[in-house]
Order: sequence, then structure tokens, then C-alpha cells
Amino acid sequence: MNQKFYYHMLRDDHLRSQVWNWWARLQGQDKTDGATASLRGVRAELRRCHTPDDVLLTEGFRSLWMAVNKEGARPSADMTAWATVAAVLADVRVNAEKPFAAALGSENEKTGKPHVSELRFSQLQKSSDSAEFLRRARRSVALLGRSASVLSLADSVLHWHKEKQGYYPVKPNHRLAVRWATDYFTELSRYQRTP
Amino acid sequence: MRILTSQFLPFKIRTGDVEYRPVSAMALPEVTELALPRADFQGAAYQFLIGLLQTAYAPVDIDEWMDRYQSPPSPEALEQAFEGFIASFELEGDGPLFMQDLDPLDKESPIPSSSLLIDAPGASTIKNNTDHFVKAGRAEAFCPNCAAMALFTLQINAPSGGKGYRTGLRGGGPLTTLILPSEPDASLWKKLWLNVLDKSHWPYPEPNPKSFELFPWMETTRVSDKAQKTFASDVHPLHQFWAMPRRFRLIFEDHNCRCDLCGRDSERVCRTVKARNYGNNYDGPWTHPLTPYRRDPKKPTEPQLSVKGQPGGIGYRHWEALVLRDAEGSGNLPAEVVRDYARKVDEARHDNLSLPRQARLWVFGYDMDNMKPRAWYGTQLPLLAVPQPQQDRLLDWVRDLVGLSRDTAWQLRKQVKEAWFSRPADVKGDTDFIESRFWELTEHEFYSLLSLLGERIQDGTIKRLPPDLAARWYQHVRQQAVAVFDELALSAPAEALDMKRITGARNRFLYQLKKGKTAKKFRKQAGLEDAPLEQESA
Repeated sequence: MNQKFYYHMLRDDHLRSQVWNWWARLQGQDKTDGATASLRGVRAELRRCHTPDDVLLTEGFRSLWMAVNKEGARPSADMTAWATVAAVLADVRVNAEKPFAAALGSENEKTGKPHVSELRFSQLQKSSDSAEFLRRARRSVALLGRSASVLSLADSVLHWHKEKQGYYPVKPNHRLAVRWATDYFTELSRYQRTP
Repeated sequence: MRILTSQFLPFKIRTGDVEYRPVSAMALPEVTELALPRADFQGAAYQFLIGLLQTAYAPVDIDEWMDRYQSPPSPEALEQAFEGFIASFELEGDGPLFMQDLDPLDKESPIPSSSLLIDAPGASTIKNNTDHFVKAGRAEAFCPNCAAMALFTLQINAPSGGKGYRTGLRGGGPLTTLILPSEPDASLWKKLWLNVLDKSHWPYPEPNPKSFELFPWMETTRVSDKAQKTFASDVHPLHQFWAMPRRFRLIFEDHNCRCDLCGRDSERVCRTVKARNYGNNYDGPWTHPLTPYRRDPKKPTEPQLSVKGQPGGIGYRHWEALVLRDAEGSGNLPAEVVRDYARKVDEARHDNLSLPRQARLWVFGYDMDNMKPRAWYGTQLPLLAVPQPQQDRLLDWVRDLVGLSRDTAWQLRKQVKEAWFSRPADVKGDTDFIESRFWELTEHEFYSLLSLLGERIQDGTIKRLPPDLAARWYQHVRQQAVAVFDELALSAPAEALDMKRITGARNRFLYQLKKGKTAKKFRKQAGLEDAPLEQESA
């Protein structure tokens, strides 16, 4: 199944490839670098961070920020968002096809329930700050078996932060809550019958 | 006051000024509009002048109609034409009085003149102090001009008003449709004359201004206390412009005061009127040339009924019923004056007079709930005068377009309610505004397409709705419907929304817009079945 992706924050091809390359290097998939071992260490460091503030001080964040902020035009207010991206992506082992929110709502073959429950899903959106969001996003990635769509996840994290800063899209159907819910509940309705 | 010779009506002059002048000023080139102080008076004044022209200055045939359209008559020519009617249009005096009962109604006690206004509260409303929205005491003193206009407005729109208070000849709160030229700065004469029919097309005997058959106030009222009825066969066809269902006498006093309706100072004032029930009891079938009618095709023996104002207003979904005749199918019978316009355009073409196929249709009237006015509607729609042989085809096309939006509007309301409520079927309350918003948003595009369809239909070889225009309409309807849904269902803060329910409703809505019965049929017709839209339903 080929699902259409709607990027909200990562609309630019070049930016998407920067994020992708960073994650691929972090996973040691990009052998040209020759520094696989040290990047493993970088990943471990990211995974040990508890809050986005901790992430800001890591080598992993620094390389991501340098990659996406080559012109230096990005405001420093965006650093927390990108720090969260770095920390969450460090937890992803395998890239998946489905948009992140759709994957959360997809069926867990063993239980017949969604990978991430409706309650947990809504809590993730309603997180009060970046630290809480990071913790819950990591938990969600873990529940997906550490397999998630890298670019969709990064886009979602950035979108969440953007709205948290008070920038709401004009069209209601461009809002994160609506985008996510559409993906999640459409996926849910494929197997779950509501009475 | 002699209505036909006094400074009776406020005319708008090309300079922007408003001047009260005699009715014979209506054909002056510098006069562009009427400027009555109320919307219902404005509509009534148009009908007054059109009725007057049809009665006293009707053209013999289409040639005379065209002559007078091109070169309007001078005030003197009109004065001469109205000469014989002056005595029948007296407002005060001992003889017959315009739109008033011949009986002075001496036994009745006077009631406030505001009872002439359809939107003023009645006696029991004031007594019970229930005038929440319609306020008492807003208009008490009327100048003679406004009193006459109020009286005429009531007589042509009269709703049922309690025991024995008869409704107007066209029923309570009928719609009126008038043809207007497409350029807004056209002279008043053109605006009026487009609505006059020629006598070879609408033949009737010479009207007698002294007879009840033409003007019901000239003789004793045909009292209806035993439910006696007045039929079309009892009166002259032009009686329809001058019908008088209610029995009134206006009481004038000499008193300096300011008119509460037009704000002018007046030396004569009408504060009270006398009224009695059991006036002329008109019973159908009538065919007023300015009003659309509808017949129930399932009950061919029932008389046709006039179209009334309805909640929700007048929009493009009513266009077909107001413009295109379909006696057998839906039973729509547009006003004679609308039908006649298409004929006028065709006739004019032979004579090298350019009468545009695209004009405007001014639709107005009260929306009445028995004697309570719910609203006054007045709107202008584009009018497309299509030659007779092509009208059926256009009707089919328009029906296809409106069918799609009608079905979409219905689905939209259904799914918005499902998005909002856990048990939408139990929800009470008026949710018409959901559909109204959608109708409004699609109106403009409909009329753009209509204008294009009017061009395409000239090519007799195109039988079906052209696929490219159908596709344009489908995309637009879909886009606007989804936009309304999102705006209504998704605009609240995300925390307050039940996103699961909303997503379900939204997905069902999107499905219906594509795979629903009506949508599917339309898409097939528009050649959209294999279009890339398919990919969306992964």
C-alpha cells in the first residue's frame, strides 16, 4: 500500500534529505563516513538524554542542527524542536512506510488492538511541554517496535512544536490534531468495528 | 390626495438626489430608480407602476412594445394615458377611495395605522406584551404617501389575519419576480417596461376604470361573511394587479408632524384606520403575470398555487423553478413575465433591437408563517433567456448541476451532525445554516457555469451536460463542501473535539462525495471516473 504523505514542516526536498542522511548516518547505514563506531556512541549519548535541554549539548544534535541550519537563518527558538527530533529519531531502528500517526493506529497482530491506545495517543498530543512530549513520543516509538517512518515522525515532532509556539494553520484540516486523528482513526477503522 | 397627479413617489435621479414627483415622471431619462423608505414598499411601488402601465398604457403588440422600450414616452403622453383613471385613484374624499372600502365603516372603532404594516405586531401581541422581536410603537404617524403605499403593500401581500380577514389574491406573502436589465444604471423606464406584456400576447377586453371588475374599490365590496368567493371569471384579468382582500378606511387629520416612515414633514397625517373583516374572498386559480406558480403534477385537478417565500431564502437552487417552465414534470410555472422575456428577446432579434439574453431577475416577498412575518427576502439572480426549443435541454443540465449540490448539501448536514453529536438523530434545533453556508459558497460558480451553458446550448448538437463544465462543477462542489465541513467540525480547540467521531464522519463524507449514488452518476457523466482522484482512497 502506497500512502500519500502530507508534509507540513518538511516540505522542502533538500531539508528532507538532510534529515534522512543524518538519521542514516546515525544508524551506521551510511558507510562512506568511515566513522561508524563513533556515531554509535553519538546515538547512545542521545538516547541517554532525558529532556530536550540535555540533547542540546550533544554531538548528535550539533550535527543535525548544522545540517538543517546551513544558512544560519533558523531562529534559536527552533532548537528545542530539533533537539526533540534528534532524540526521538535516535530511537528509530527501522524506517517504515506508514505515516507516523497511521502506524500508531495500526493493528497489533498479537492483540488485535492498535499499537498505541487511543488514550495514549491523545495524551501524546496534549503533552504540556517538550520534555513530556519527548518521553511519550519515545514510548510510542518503543510500542511500534522501534520501526517508524523517519520523515513523517520528524515532520510531526516539528509540527507539534510549531503549534505549541502558537502558530496555527489557517485551514483547520492542516492542524496537527486533525492530520494525526485522520491518519490514526482511519487506520483504526480498517479493523475495528464500532458498535 | 389625487395619487396620479400629486407628487406621489420618491424617484432617484441620475445625480443621486431623491425627489418626490408625479407618476408620469417614471419615463424621464434622468430617473434611474425608485427610492421608497421600506423594502416592501419598494417592491410594491414597482408593482403599482407596472400595474398602472399594463392597465392604462399597454402596448397593442410586440412592435409597439419595442417602440416604447427604445423611445420612452414623455410625461405628457403618460398623463394623457392616465387621464381617464385619475378619479379612480383618490386617497381622501367622499367618493370611492383607492384600495379602501366604499362603506365608510362608521361602526368600527379606529385602530392604530401601524396595523397596515405587515411586520407590526397585532393587537393581541401588544396586549400580551409578547412583542419581543417585532416592536410596537415604531411607526404611528404616516404621511398620505406612506399611508397609501402601506395600504397597497398590505392589499397585495395580505396574509390571513384572523377570522374573516382575507388573504391576498396570490395568497399570503407571494413571491414576485421582475425582469431587470443587466446594467444597474439603466433608466427606471426600462426596468418597468420589461415587465409589461403586450395585448396581442395577453388579450383582454378594454378595462373600465369605474367598474368593480377592474378596481374593486369603485363599488360595494363583495362581502364574504357566508364564505362567498370571487373567482377569476367574476372580474377583469387586470383586477389581479388591483385586488383588495381587506376592508380599510384611512382617517386623515390636519396636523403638522413628521412621518415615521419616510421622515418628511407633513401637514396631513394618518394615525388611525378603520378595518372590517369579510372582504373580497379570492379563490383560485389565478395567474398573476409577475408571480411564479407551482402545480402538483400528482394532483392535476388541484389549482396551481403561488410560490411563497420560504425559510432559507432564495438561492440558485430555486433558479430552475423561477425561470424554466416544466408543467408536467415538477409542475413549475414561472411568472408569465419571465416566460415572455425569452419571447421578447427572440422577437427583438428579428428587428435588430438588441435585448440581451442575460438580464437579472429580481425576486422578493415575505416569508410568512400564517400572519407572522418570518423574514423579507429580496435578491437578484442572473436571468438567462434561452429560446423556447432549447429550454428543455437547459432544464436537464441545470437539474444535473443542482442535483449534485442538493445531494452534497444533504450529506454535509448529515455528517456535520454526526461529527458534532454522539446521537445525531436525537438532536433538536435548526441546523439549516450548515446547508446555507454551502449554498452561498457555491452560488457564484453556479452562475458562471450557467452563463457558459447559455453559450454552449446555442449549439444544438450538444445533447448532454458538457463534461468539462460538469467536471469543473464537481471539483468546486466537493472542495467547498469539504471546506465547510472542516470549518464547522474541526475549528474548536483539538482538546475539545472527539476526533475519533469526527474522523469517522469526515471519511464517510469524503466517501459519499465520490462513491455516493448521485456523485457517482455525476462523475461518470463528467468523465471523472478514471481520473487521478482514485488514488486518494488508498
